[in-house]
Amino acid sequence: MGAAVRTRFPGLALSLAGIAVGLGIWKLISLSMDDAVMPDPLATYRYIADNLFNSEYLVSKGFSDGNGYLPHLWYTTRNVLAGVAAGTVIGVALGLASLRLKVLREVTDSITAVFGTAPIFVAAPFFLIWFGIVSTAQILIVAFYTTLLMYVFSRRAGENVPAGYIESGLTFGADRWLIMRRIHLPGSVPELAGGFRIALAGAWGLAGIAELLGAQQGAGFLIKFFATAFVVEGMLAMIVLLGLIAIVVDQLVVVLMLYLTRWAESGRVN
Amino acid sequence: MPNVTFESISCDFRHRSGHLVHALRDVSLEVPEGQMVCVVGRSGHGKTTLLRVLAGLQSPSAGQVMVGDRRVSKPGSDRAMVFQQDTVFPWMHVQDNVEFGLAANGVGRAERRKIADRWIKAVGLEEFADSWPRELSGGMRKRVALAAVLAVDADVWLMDEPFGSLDYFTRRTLHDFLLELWSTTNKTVFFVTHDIEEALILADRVLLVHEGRIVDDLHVPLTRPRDEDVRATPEAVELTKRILRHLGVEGGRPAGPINDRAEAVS
Repeated sequence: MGAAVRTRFPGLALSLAGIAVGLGIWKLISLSMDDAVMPDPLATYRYIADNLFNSEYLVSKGFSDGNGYLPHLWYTTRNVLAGVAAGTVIGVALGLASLRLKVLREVTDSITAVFGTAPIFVAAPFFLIWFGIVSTAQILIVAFYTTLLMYVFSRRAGENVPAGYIESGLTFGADRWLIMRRIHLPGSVPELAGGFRIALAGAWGLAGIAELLGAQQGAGFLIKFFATAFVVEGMLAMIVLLGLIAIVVDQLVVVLMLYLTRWAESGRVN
Repeated sequence: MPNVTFESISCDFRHRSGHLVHALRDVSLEVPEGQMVCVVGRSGHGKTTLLRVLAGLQSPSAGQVMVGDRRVSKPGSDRAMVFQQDTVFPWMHVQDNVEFGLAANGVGRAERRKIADRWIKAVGLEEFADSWPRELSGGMRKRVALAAVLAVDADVWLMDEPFGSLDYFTRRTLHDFLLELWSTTNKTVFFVTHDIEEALILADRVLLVHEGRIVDDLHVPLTRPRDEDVRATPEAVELTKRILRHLGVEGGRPAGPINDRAEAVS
């Protein structure tokens, strides 16, 4: 236990040092600029504290709920998580199934080749036109991007599962479905974990941009609203809060991935 | 339990370089049930291909393999295999590894648990049933692989240099262990090895494979257990010399250049 704490301490200390350096740079920049253009970290913190749960400013601007930033942050978080979850399920299922089904592989490869080259930020407006400015469109944008990414990762991960495991499964009489479920999928998890984190990291930005382009709520929508009203504290507050949520979710994913790949850690009886 | 019959099996591969490699050439063979057969030969001369054709992992270019009256057309749990490389699934506990083949064959959860418990105990790993494979030594993982094969009650055990990567002591321990299991179950065993000592310890019969053909089929009349003294008898020494001659070793030294089939086939 003690050793583990000692081993983790330098990493934690460096992370805190990194945050301190970032805040320091922010403070220095704010000193050279007008408060209205670049509020310092403390002012931003105070703004968050005043508006997170209950925002008089938002009420004064006609927002009916008056519940502060929280419902907007939850809206974005929910869209991101739903989109990433749906995209992961579809992408991994297609990727692993395409390892065995040549017809599927040829179809999905050509689709990913076409859509993979089109920047997702270019494709995003089409989703809003097709599905409207409701959360479905934002979820679909994230799901689409995640599907493409996880398809590519799962294909590569599946191909990297040693053939010996598959052959061993076959000699035990396992059918394709069992091999997919109990060999390809778990054997791919360590490599899929990296792809999932990349997809998740990109999804926050994508959901934010989708909301900037057209939404009635969400973190991106509020940033756009604050930008129009030139409320720089509000913009910074939303960026900081969204960043914090993204970090917390990413750390939860890291914990989940460590659990799912606990079999792969090093260590032996002798 | 059924006999295993190879009927005029040939197996050709197109190598990356473009030339055709004849991994097996017109191999015919009959192995009665309960026999321990060691397949010996130089690397790349067709030992593993012979085993893979019997496992159903490799389709022959000509001929057929029969297990009893069933033609081998695909892999199946009646011919379970222990591979040269480590194929114990690292993401499953020992218990789940041993249960895998049973699950694949539709055995219910309670029955699976009962059968797996029995074989995990038989291989001496009952204290490690809930361990991850990474927590076990190489020898212990081979015992897990053996338990999984035993659990599905395969008619034929296929072993492709299963102990090749282990140290001498562990290997010898596992030889005794395998012989004990074999003597109590009376299964047919195909054991591929390039180690003559291993073949003499284990085999009822040694098949010598050279350039895709079975060039000698030796009965091993030595008494069991085959300790150092038994393996030093004139009979055993004569068998060793005969095998060495087939492997291209004469007067204690390799005769001729290294055959490039190893590169071409493997």
